[in-house]
Amino acid sequence: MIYSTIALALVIVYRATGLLNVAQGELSTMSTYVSLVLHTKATPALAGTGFAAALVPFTPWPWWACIVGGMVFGALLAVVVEFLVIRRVAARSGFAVISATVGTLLFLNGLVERIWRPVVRGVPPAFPNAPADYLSVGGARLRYLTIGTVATIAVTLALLWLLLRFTKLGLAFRAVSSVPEASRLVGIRPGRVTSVGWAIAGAIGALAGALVAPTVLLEPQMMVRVLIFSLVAATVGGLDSLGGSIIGGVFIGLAQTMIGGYVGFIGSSLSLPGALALMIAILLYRPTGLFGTRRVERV
Amino acid sequence: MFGVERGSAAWRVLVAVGAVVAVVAVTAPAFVLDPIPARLFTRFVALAVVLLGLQLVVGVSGQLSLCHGVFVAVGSYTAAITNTTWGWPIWAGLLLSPVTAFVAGSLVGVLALRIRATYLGPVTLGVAVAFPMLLKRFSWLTGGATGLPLLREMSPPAGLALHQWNHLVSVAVAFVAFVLMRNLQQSAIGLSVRAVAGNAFSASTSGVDVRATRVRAFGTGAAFGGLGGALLVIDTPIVGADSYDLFRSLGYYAAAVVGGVGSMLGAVLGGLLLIGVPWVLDTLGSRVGPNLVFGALLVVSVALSPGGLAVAVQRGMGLVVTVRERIPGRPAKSGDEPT
Repeated sequence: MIYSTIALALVIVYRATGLLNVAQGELSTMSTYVSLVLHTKATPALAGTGFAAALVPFTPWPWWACIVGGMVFGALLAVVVEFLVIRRVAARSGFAVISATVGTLLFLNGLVERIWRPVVRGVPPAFPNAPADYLSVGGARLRYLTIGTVATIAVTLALLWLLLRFTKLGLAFRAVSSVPEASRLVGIRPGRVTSVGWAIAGAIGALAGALVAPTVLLEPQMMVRVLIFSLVAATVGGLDSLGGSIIGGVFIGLAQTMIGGYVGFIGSSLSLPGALALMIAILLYRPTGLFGTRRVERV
Repeated sequence: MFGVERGSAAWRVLVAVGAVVAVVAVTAPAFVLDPIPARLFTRFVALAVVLLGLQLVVGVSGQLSLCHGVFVAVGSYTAAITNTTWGWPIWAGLLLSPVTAFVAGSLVGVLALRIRATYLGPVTLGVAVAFPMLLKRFSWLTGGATGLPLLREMSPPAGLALHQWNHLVSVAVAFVAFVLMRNLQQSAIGLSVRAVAGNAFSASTSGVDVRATRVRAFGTGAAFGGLGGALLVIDTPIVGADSYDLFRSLGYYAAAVVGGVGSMLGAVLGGLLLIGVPWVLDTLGSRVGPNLVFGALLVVSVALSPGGLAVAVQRGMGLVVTVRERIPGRPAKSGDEPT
């Protein structure tokens, strides 16, 4: 499900701007660190906590509030990145944009490593996760953590759908993603809408980071694997389909576990190459993903 | 400032002097410096060959590749496996590494045919992440995470230390690689690669096989990467799965773009960056990682100068010497405007 969340963030940026934000994972990692900083008492072991204790009232916050704080930070960071970097090169070429996002990825990764050191850190789970915290459904154990994570993602998705479907902002967003020039003519400001798209993606990415961090442990490289799986999910689902990204994420998550668990030759060590091969196979048959809009491309 | 005409006597002298200066400048460090700083230059030579391949794929043929580190790894492993496991001499591994890397590159190139534009980014990125896992899974061949040492190092001729001989071999191989690449880019094949990158449709109307050209360009770029990888392993005689992670591939990409894609000078400048940035950070005792610097450089270079450093350097040299193209059938007049 986590893959669905990051895939969703990727798809939102793609819909708003037509570019694939490779740096999305690093945005999430940085936001998760910020959440952790807000949650920790001032200590020299974690940079920024002294700063937070001095400037932010009532720290350390409870963890849920820190996740929200991280989401706000993620949204701001995404807007800043879009405004300072992506907007400058967007008009030039696809290569320039990809290079800019790769540059952002490297830069943020280096920055996180510089600030917080390449140390693995534990992060509190967002929902109770003691050994006894589970619901028994027909012999299967549903952990509160799993239920909570799925519920959070479902709520996020529902909110997002309501936003896109029933608000003026959502209408503007869809207008800009389909016909930017015409939407400018009817008085929409595409730049602002793009910023909003990035902000939403940044916030969702931060949420996903905070949700995934307890399982994979927080370190500067945390999101590399997650990002790849999410990219696979987004491409399998179709880069311009929000629903597709969710289904793609669930599909990839299942495929990873099932293939890893049942095909002995592959095992858990090859689950990522397996998922990747799946993505390539799907892309070879449907170049725009399973749920993506088919597009006629000039030769 | 003065101008020379391409092909004239003055131009030939200039090119010859430039070549001699370059060869001396690149060879001398091995004999002047201590082994450790001298080996930085050996790595620089190898990395320039690596980036030479990447600038062909990204710059000349216009295909996105975020997994160049994989082809470098294929070259390194070819050299190490043939040498250590099969007992071949090093030069045999050096010859074989571009071949295996070409095969690997062509495979990815075939994927790139069908999966175009935006989708190629994630696919090549995924290949870069997945490859180290494959290396670990097939550890009976590759040595896994512990790595595979290069057992039979070259025996240098009398009077030369090992690192000096390694350096000379690397420079010689790199020289051949650069000459090959230059000839390749000026040949009919190079022209068709450019044509496909510029406008695939009009290239195909002129009888260029677009698909074959793209795959060949990808494979050839990978082959140079593999050759560079074999040179790297001669300098540092061990290969390990963990050293070929995603950030290595992205670092190559950043260095190639900052140096200038589509330009052989750019590959040299990118190699200098790959060696120079960590060295400078180390010397300054800075705790900033090279990723941060490369990321910032990449963003700034994309925003300010699409041609990378190579364009800036060429412009700087243009202030001193300008080369006029010779126009066939018309004797050049003195005082012509430089073109």
